[in-house]
Amino acid sequence: MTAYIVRRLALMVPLLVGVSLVTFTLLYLVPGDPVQSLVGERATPQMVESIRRELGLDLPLHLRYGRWLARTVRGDLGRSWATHRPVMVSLIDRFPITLKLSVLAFALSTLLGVTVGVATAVREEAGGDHLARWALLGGQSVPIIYLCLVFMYVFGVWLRLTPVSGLGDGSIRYFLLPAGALGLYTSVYKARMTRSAMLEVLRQDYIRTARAKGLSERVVIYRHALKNAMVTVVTVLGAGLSALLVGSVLTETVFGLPGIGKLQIDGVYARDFPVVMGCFLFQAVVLSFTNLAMDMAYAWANPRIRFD
Amino acid sequence: MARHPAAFLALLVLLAAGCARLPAAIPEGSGVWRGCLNRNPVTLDPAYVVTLLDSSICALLYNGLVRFDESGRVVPDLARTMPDVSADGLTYTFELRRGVRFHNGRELTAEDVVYSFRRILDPATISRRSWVFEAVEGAVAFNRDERTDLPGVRAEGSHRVVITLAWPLAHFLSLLAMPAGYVVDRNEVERHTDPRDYGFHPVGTGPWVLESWVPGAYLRLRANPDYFEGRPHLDALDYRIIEDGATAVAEFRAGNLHLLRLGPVEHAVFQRDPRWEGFLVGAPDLAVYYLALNCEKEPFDNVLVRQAVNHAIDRQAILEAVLPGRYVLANGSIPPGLDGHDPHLEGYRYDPALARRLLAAAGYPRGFRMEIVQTSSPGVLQITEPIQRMLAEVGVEARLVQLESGAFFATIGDQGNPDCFFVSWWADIPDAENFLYPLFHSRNRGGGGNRARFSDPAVDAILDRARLTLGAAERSELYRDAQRLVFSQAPWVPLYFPINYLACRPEVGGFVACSIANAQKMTGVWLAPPPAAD
Repeated sequence: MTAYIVRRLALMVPLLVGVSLVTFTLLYLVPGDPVQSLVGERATPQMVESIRRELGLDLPLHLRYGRWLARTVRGDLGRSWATHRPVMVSLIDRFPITLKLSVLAFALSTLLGVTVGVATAVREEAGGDHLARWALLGGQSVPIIYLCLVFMYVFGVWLRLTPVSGLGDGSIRYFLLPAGALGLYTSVYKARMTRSAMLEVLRQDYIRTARAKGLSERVVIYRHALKNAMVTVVTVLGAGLSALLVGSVLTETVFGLPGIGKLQIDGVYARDFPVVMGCFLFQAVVLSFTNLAMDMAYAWANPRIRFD
Repeated sequence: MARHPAAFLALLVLLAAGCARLPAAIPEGSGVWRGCLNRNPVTLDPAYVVTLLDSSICALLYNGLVRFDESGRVVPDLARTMPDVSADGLTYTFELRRGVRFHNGRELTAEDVVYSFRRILDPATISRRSWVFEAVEGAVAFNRDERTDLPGVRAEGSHRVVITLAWPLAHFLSLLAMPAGYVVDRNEVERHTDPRDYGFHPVGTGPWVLESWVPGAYLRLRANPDYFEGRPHLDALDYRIIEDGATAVAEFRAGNLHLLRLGPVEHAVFQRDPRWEGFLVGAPDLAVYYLALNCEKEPFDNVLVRQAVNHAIDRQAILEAVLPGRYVLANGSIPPGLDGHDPHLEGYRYDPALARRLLAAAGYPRGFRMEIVQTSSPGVLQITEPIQRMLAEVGVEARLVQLESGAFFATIGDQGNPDCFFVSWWADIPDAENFLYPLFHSRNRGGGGNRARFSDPAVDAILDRARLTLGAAERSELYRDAQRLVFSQAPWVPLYFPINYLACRPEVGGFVACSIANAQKMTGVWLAPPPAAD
């Protein structure tokens, strides 16, 4: 197991270099000039030239990448071209916001998704099952941005139960609405996957055996069926968590939460290369670790999986 | 409504004065202003400010020698009075107010002014606004690193600043009122290992002091108790950064914002709602929206083609449908309210038959194909799609190309060569010069502002002369002439001067909407105790 983890961590190095190389190249292929958004109107060619030199844009591509890599290896992600804020500082400032939002939304969506999934599977084809499935279909069809606004008006403006938007003092109540909307939205897929995995497991012989030997329905469902269905579900949960942790651009934008997703999209619009590179690298690291954690979770869900 | 701009603007001024409901004694410390910004400020260092938003926040933190008042006139700021100007218009002598202190308590002296201006021109700073001081004696060479001294700006004693220009420049004082003219504290700038970090820790002399700034989330400014014009009425200004328009509306409706900038859709909704009657403030923006025709590129290098395109588009019909009550039809580039605006300037009337004849005369009897480049901002298509249809009627097949704004500005600047594009121009200063010289002087073709790449020696000559002309009446006559000459050659299809509407909560008093971003100092604004909940 330890050897496996070490090997996975070592593999991250070429992965990150690969990601950075691809991102770097893509960024330079994107049309649009980073200097243009910095100088505004009435730029003299001389000013544009000075800024190019300052940013190292006058160097050939491989030299620019080499410079960036050399600095990054030393732990320096550079500074934003637009604001001049160190990229590392921005990432450190913003990740807790994304983390808080992700964890809350993940907890909510998992709780909701797995519960609904199990409940509908157990009562297959009953009225409640049909209703729930329609509701899920509906939930998946509503754009997240709309869901966010509905939540905002219902809970924030009319009922005044929560703040409407914003980070406020960073306390948990400011995250309730965005996490609620995001959690509800992401629970749908989880519910559907749980339901189908459960249905498959519930048809297995060992479930019939469990019931035949007189185990209570609760034990059959939760200890025998659900744990086996979890192998599929864990995959979905893992992918879902990764997707949340790299930042939810729309939710963050609508609710005015300056998370990683927002940082990245602003960086892309401003052609702020150091910021975009920093975000991609950071996300690659987060994804790698989440995937590793999920692989560990497989071993827990399915003891037949071995890491050697 | 838009046909009578003068009357309409007078009405707006009335509206602007009208938010205050209780003219009772204004309590000092009347609360915390809750505003919103539609974007995170990029920097609060005057040397790097290029956006209107950054400019409006810097206005709260800093002062220049002079500033714009709410109507856009230049008035003394750090200077005690308007400067003495020598007869040749080359030497400006400013006497500074005494006892003005930076937020850190240090007293401002003439040396600080000299340092701040030098810093903008210093090649090592790479300021985005060095052009503001280009008329100052020695500035160009100093900025190019060809000389190490800047003779044009000097301190005489502790409270006198003398600026000499290399050539007279009528609107020089307006330039000084821009953020580039704000005075910073040298110690505060140089305190940081990387001087660019100063932009996060600005220290000025202004009525507000930056207390905290969480990028992307909010800015909090508190009243400067020692402000030289007296402490502002409000205790603090809280600006939330809310990029999503729908979110801002929700926050405003929940009572969490005092002021809301209304887009066309919300404007219509609020206008129909009787509860907001009397609380909508309108102000014309100093800006112009237009369709630029690339005068260096076929077929738009032919003036007949450009005129034909102008005649082919029914601007009034489009604007009335898309922006009712929110525009003044533009026939030139100088907005109403500025000296040099010409209410008698005739626009090209909508006449598709004439357009077809002009196209035939230009050698395009069967029209041609073209591209209209535009951003993907909301509302743009509503204007360009009808234009596309109208052009089709005269045989011109226009393709709409939507670009994200970074790519858009690269394309219309020096890196592309588009046929035609939809864009706007926002004033740096409330002066006709700003709506002609950068936009039409051949020296500024491309990224310099003249994006239509228009070039006419006669226009250049008038614009050069107007910049040197000091008499106001003569100057505005020159600008009117230049504008007439430019638009007779139709480098643009001028569309409109926008009118901006704000919804203002009933408890707000003393708020005046300003057309120029950095005129708003927020010192006169106060809040009445909130009325009973509705």
